[in-house]
Amino acid sequence: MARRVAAAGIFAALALVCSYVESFIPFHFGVPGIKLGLANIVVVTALYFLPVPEVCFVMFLKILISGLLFGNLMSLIYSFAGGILSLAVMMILNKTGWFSVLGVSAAGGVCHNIGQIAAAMLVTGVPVIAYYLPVLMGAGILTGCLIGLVSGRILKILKDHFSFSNS
Amino acid sequence: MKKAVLAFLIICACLSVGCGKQSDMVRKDPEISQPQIEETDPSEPTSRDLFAMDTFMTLTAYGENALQALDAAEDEILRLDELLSTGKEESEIFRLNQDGEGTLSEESAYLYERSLEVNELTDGAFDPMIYPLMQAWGFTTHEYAVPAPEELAGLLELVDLSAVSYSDKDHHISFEKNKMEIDFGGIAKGYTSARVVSILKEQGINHAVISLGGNVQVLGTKPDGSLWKVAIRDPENVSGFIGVVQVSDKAVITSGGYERYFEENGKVYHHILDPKTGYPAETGLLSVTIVSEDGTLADGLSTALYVMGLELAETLWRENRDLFEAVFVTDSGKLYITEGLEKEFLTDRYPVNVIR
Amino acid sequence: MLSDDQMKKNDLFKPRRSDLILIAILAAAAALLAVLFAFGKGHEQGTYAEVVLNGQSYGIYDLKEDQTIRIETDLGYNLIEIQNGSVSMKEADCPDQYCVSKGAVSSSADPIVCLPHRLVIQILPDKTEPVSFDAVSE
Repeated sequence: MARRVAAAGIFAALALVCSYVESFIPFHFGVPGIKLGLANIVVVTALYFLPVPEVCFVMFLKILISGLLFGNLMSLIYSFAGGILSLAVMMILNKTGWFSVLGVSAAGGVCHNIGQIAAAMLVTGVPVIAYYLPVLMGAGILTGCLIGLVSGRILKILKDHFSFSNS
Repeated sequence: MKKAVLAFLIICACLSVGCGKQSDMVRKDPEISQPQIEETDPSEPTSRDLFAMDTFMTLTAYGENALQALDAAEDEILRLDELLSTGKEESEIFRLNQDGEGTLSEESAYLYERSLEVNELTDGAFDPMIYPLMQAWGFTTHEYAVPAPEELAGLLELVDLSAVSYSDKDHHISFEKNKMEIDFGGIAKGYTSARVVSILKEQGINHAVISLGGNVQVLGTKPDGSLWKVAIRDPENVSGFIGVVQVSDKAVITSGGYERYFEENGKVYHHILDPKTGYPAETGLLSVTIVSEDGTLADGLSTALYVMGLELAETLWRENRDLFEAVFVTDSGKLYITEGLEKEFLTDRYPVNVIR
Repeated sequence: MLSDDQMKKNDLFKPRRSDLILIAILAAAAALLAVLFAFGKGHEQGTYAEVVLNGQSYGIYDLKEDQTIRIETDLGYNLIEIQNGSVSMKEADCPDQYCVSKGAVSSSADPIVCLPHRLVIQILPDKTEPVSFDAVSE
């Protein structure tokens, strides 16, 4: 039990570091919502490394703290909508066993952006925002693949050093 | 295999989040797409112009039987003109106003009952007994004059529906005060347009648009299945329009002070009188357009809502949103439409305020 | 979370063909949406910009008149500039600055969005061309 809590804490801390590092990267496309999402590497890795409750905990903490530190209340709402949808989809896709971390992460990236747009349409009441959807989906695929590849490498290394079984 | 199907369903579900929003996106688009009706009759429109009820009328119908249908419609208009005119000595209404009592024909009884209905609905803002006031101002004869306040006070006594006794069984009506007079002018044109449309329908016409001096009613859609486009006159610039409302099977009736008015000592007096004050209604509205399936109601309401002003009109609409929709222009140049017209009303006059 | 068994049987960390199919489907969906939107309605140059704040219309501005509009709310401020028929976000104190980097727009399909401040500037489709009609209500 203690090991699980410690692992979750480490993952959450890592996610925050990633968010912090990313806040230094000037990466603006003029379209809200597009970003690298380095912290998602940690979330995707956790998906394979931690039990479900801990993964949700890491995701929740990452969004809450990075939202408070580097964004504002509004961006927090959008992040939560995107985070919940993407995590749910990634968990289900992972459960099927049909896809590797690359595919799961790509779908997660797309769903993250879909969730954000859906929340933004609800909050602002301006449906025209949906015009961003294709661009954001494309961006989600790219960043999702990138994160999937990196996570795959990390997981391979972790697999050699840690046990994946329930402990 | 099951897992693959599951995965595919999930992807579809994700994507449908995006797709589902598409219909919202075209909310402000002017093109309202209509189901395509097969072109059964591509024939040209048949039109008829005539002068009746003190105004100019245009009837346009599509269909093989159009000529015959328009003949029947014209006959009906002339018949109703005879029946309802307050000025023609042989008319039923003229005789009633002379005698102060009488038995109404089936049709007049219907109009009286509809008048009462609109009167109650609008809390007296529409009143069929307003005729003595209209005469005093000269709006019936075009010999305009501002009546003296004492004269108006006396005439206001006559605008009193409670002093009319009416039996809905034998249609006998009598005025308890001397010199009381009734006039269905406030709903006559709306009733006539409704009658014309039903006659055209009886004659097998499916597509028609009629304008009785600016009181518009349409039958069905255009022959190509698209909605009729009815422009609404700009009360501030009478050569222009405030927008276009797209309708099928509706009456579109506008009342505005700009329709008939005169000037005296630098002050403008228009023809929409407030039955409670006897003076032209000054409520901050320049025009009111009513869109309704019921032409008679639309005619009465367009006048009544003008008299009531925007605030009371909004309340009335909220309580009767299934009966009609409306477009208002205020004297500060603002445009208001009721929620049901949000998609059907096209304009380049932003902003459009939507009453919900 | 996977069991050791699962890990051995099925290497979930190595990209597979099914991944590529999934990615292709997602990309195709994005492309399809892009095409739908591109050929859809509402892509018009406009002469009015509407500022929508918190889902409600804040104001409508004529793009023919050069002007700057400053909007301050509890969430922060935005400085909107209208110049030469297009509108841009000149300044904002939002954390992401996406709206500012968006530049000038003049098409109804291209809104400027400042999500942190719940503010959207959208160009209203132009309907000033003469509209035909069948009757006049007056």
